[in-house]
Amino acid sequence: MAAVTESPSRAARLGWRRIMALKGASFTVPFFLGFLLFTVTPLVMALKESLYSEKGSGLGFGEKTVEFVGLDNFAEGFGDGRFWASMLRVGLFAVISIPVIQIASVGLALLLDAASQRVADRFRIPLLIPYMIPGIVATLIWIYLYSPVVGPLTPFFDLFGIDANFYGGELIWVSIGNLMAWSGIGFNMLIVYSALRSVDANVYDAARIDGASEWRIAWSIKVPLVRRSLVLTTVLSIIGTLQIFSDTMLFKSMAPETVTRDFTPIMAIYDWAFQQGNFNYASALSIILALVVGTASALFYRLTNKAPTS
Amino acid sequence: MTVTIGPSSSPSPSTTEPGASRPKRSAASRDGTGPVRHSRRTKALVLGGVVFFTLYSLAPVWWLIVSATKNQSDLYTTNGLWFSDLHFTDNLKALFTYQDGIFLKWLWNTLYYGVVGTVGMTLVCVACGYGLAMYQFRGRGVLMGCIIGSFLVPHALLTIPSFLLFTDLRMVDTPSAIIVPSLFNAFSVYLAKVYAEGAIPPELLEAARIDGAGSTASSSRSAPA
Repeated sequence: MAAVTESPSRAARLGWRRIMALKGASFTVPFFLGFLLFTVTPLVMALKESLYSEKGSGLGFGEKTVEFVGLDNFAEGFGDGRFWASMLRVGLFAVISIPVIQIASVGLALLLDAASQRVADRFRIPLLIPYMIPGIVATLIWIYLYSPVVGPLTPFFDLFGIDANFYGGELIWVSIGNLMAWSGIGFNMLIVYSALRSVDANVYDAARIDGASEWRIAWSIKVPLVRRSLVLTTVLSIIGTLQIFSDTMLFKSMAPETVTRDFTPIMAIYDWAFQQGNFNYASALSIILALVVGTASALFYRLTNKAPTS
Repeated sequence: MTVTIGPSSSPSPSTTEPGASRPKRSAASRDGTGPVRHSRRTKALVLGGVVFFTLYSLAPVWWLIVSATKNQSDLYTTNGLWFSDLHFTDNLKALFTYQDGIFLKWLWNTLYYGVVGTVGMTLVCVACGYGLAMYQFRGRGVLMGCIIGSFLVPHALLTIPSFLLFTDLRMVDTPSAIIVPSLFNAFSVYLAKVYAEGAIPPELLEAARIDGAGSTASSSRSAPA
């Protein structure tokens, strides 16, 4: 880390404030150097790629040439029906699954907060175990659990006379949503729970003395107080859900006729880049996706910040 | 003071009527200001909810553990949630002798990448998050914007350019191609910044500065907070 070495007279000229600013900035230097090299550089390379196109000369024989095509890839992307169908599919899924998962997480955090310290300590770690399991492994576990051959779930639903096909078109998003809830609730709960714990208990005592019920305290005091954490976990969920990829990719191996190659936006991008070998177009689609995700997150952020606090 | 919960056992606060039976409670809660003592029914409901979520969290893991002890045919024919003939050691033997014990090599790789990557990433990202949280300097907002903005970039977009970049840097096919980029994790910086803001009171730093601690000293000593 670059230490700020200044001679006293110069230091006096710069002033205390200036030196502190330099010191603060120097803490961030190592990270931003790496960030520049490993995130910004590839990003700029991808942006450049999106403005070019590979064209075969003549009748598809001959040498392929790379041409500058300006925003043609983007124009094609904005009119790509299959890509936008995948976006709509995942968007709908996000609109339903994110509130359900968030509400369950907050509910769990409130339950844990209402429970005695002993109970909370005892259950917190088991509740976090799904979060500790790597995403791919979690997906594999659930793929087996859903499996009509090996999994215990199909016979379980059979007991109630329900013929549940977790890989069919009707249930596939329920299956994926359950997987995301299973791996996500623990983490979201932890963030909200730690926010709840940092609230001064006197606030609750005051409310109780004023005759507020526990439900009232939960809804009118606790939830507003953890709103910042909730906005954070929700924005992260929006970003994660719209960019869902590895889960659906693994589900594809089980249900190739339901989960098509362009089932989600990133699967479509992956297909264009690595199956069709059209990296230029894939770059353009990725940028469009990033714009959509950014807009959705910003919109959500704006809406939640405008709403009154209580 | 006694507190009861309405008939709905749903864990979601949004589906409940706040204060459905308030008058009774407001009278009851006037006496005593000690720690909250919930009624038995409330306790049972809270415990029931927590147990439900715990079962949901652990059942798949339980299935995984049980399945690890079975052989191929039992996996398909017996109850998935309980043990049958124990083949755990056979399975372990099969795992560790698979391709002359390549699994051990994989484990070592995981450990190596994990430890080196995590230690390095923690140093780089906590320093950055600390700097962003505790100091005011020009460009701080822009840097925060870069970090938040990078969450939005789909990883698929960066895959091929990263590969080309690593080829230029002669990092392809070496451990550093995995470890070095993982040191610069924007999300960790964000977490470190948020945490530093919440956990380290500015007065503590002021005091440390007045006492003559350098910035590095104060960051490393207040980090345990």
